[in-house]
Amino acid sequence: MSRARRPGGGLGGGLGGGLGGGKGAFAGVFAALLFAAMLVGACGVLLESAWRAHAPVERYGAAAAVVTGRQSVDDRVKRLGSKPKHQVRPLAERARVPVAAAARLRAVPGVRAVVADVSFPVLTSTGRTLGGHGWDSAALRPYRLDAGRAPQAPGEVALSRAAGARVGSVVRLQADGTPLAFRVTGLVAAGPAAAFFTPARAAALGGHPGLADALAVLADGKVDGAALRAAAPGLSVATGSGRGDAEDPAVATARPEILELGASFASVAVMIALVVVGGLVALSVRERSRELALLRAIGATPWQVRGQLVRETLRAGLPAALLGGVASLGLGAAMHAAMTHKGVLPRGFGLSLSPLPVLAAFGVALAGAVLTALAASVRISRIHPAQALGEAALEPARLPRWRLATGVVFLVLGLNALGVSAATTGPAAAASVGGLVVALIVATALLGPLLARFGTRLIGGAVRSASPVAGRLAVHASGAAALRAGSIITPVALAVAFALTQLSAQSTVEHATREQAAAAVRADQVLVSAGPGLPRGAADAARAVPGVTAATPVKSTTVVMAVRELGERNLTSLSAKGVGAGAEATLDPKVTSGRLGDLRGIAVALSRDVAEGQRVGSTAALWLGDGTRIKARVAAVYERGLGVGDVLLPHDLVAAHSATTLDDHVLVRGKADLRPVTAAYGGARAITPEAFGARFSERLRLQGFVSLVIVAAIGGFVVIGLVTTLALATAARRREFALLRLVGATRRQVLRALRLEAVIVLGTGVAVGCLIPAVTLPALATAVTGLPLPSLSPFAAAAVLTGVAGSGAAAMILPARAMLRRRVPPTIS
Amino acid sequence: MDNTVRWILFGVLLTVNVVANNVLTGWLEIVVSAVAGLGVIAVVIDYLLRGRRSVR
Repeated sequence: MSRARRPGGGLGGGLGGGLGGGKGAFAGVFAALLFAAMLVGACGVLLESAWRAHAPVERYGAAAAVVTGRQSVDDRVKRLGSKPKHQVRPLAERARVPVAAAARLRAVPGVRAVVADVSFPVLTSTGRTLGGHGWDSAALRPYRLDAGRAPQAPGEVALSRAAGARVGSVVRLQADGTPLAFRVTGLVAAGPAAAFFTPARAAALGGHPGLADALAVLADGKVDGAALRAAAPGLSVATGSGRGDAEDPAVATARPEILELGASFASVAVMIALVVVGGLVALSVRERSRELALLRAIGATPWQVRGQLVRETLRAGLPAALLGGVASLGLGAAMHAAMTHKGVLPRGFGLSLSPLPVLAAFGVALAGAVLTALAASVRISRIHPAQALGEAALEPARLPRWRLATGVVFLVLGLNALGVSAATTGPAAAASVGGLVVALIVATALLGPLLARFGTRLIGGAVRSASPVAGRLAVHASGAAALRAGSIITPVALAVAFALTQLSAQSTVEHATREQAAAAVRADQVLVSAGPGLPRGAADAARAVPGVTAATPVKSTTVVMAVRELGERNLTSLSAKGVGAGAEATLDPKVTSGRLGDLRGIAVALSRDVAEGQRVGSTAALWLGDGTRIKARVAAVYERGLGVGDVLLPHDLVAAHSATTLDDHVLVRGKADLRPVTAAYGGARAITPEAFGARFSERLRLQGFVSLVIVAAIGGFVVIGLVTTLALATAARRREFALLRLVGATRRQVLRALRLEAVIVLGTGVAVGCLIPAVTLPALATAVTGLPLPSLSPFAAAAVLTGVAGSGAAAMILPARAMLRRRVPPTIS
Repeated sequence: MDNTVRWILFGVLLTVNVVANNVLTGWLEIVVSAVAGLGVIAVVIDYLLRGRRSVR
């Protein structure tokens, strides 16, 4: 090693100094690795938070354990060519337990009492939503009476002070029907807003007599969890922070989605970090090929040269990875805060910060640095010493054979995978487009120099005719350094292709969903609720109004079904709706076979995205919201899965297996005056289908926010990498600019030539970057909407293009302006 | 064969291959895409063996 170091003594600073572009290269590699570590670490923070997240324990604070039905479903899914796999999906709604199961729990030693807890939303006359429970549930927090006494008769209630009622007054509360009058007998102070009825009354109002949402165990000391589990076979027993998930399953339901999102985001971040850092390191090695060739010529072995390069990259990489890892905690926390603020993460989805993401980010960034440094040094260190200097003087003109062959393979694979993404439908198509873009980007990276030469020929002609002298210089400069231009084109194309694809895929799905949802509603009016939902009598009341021809109650839920995605069956959570009588008149999901009117009893209608060869009359197995497994007859197959939801079920079936009996909305056919109905129910309103569509769009926009955050973070990182690469490439051309000045070119001419070169190189990059989405997006749009017309806001597209091209041009021209000082004679050092 | 001709041929064959894979069905898809795909591979091999030598 010492042999290698001594001749390179003047280069001892390596990337860190000494050479002309040395400091720039150090700063560039440092910045790129810093941001790579930050991105990876931020994904790690999201992943870890999702891993550890539990809903806060609020109402079950005094309970030693909470027994619920199993909050997940599992199944063995057959896989092609491997053993059946065990898959688990969480349930979106509470799985209830029979109250009778409490008797065996009471027999467990140490158990003082077991409370059958029921929860249901209660709407006050002031529009406030309270949690309705039996008075025995008050002991679980515990809620303490502030004034008055506990409810003892069916017409009595104890309220939270926040509800604004006085002891002795009469309030009207709406649970599962029209509002009823209750006398307030007591007030409780702290805790989530609640209304306590007598236990019998609460069980009746909850709508599922004989069943409880949870059996909460109160114990004197510590109670044996294993004994509880043995006493409650088939049920799940939650203790500690797990009790929060029994109280509110929202966090547990969101967990797998956030895990998936974080993991896919992290893998994209790692891939992009490798491309960006790899390009940067390759460029800095190429600029130093003269010096490395000299090392080889005076006797350094290939591994000595490689070792030197790896050490130098690590010198920038170590502090960058460490700093980036620590800073990633902040970035991850900021992303978590933004997602919580926008309501993307459910309430109570906590943030977990630990050294784990820092370590992961540190390791990934360092491994990336070493890998890219080794890859970049392979060519230069393998050259025969005698050849080395000759090779270094001129940029090698040709692409290595392996690079061309691999590039072509990725190109052919990527383009042919279009068929896969066009054959799949729905969300799987959107996911496969991501892989397609990656394949095409890798092809671009490998074939970059070829594309650069092609771009020079195409755009160069136009540039030369626009400006003969500077144009000729620019064409020669970009043509002579095709390899360098190739490593600039890749990040430009990457930034443009990634941002355009992500933005457009999101907006195409959103647009299609909105259009399908609007087209699917055939109602003239929609009854909606400002509170938790509409009582089940509302639809009947609307149907009774003269002039109304049909009124269909609609209730949303989530079902779990094994769906084939890209040839593999996976347990998937699907959005489903329970639709009541008259659905054929009020809802048009564009049925292709079967009839919506046959949706009665144990039946199901499937969208074509999930039907997967199931025909009308066949049987589909699925799990309802509370985990009940049913085998339903397929009554219809329809097309508008995005707008309506993938599964339609009979309303009564969904209502019997959901957390509440309330409906989301009622679709009403007929232009009658619905004021008698809205007056009878608290919070009810009749709105036009257009206003209903606007509410739906608002929810969609919220979901799109996650993808915007991802585009912003990764796009920002690519642009940072692009700017550092370009600035480094320009800074390394000091000698070339000085030479041009010495042979008589003016400062203006050199800068003009550089500007035109920027047009050629960035133009080629942007063109390739636009070409990739131009191929992939129509395939996605065909899969989602049936027509090859992706939707993309022109403002977003313009912002992406000007952002990338503008920052790229600035990074090329500003360092050159600084190098070419006015009134300072040029010298070649 | 000139390199320009080679790359044009490459583009045409690749387009045929991809379109055949995505539009056609049945045995026609297999035949057309296989022939075009083999053509793509042949052009690349021809370029690697002969096209690059002529540049030297």
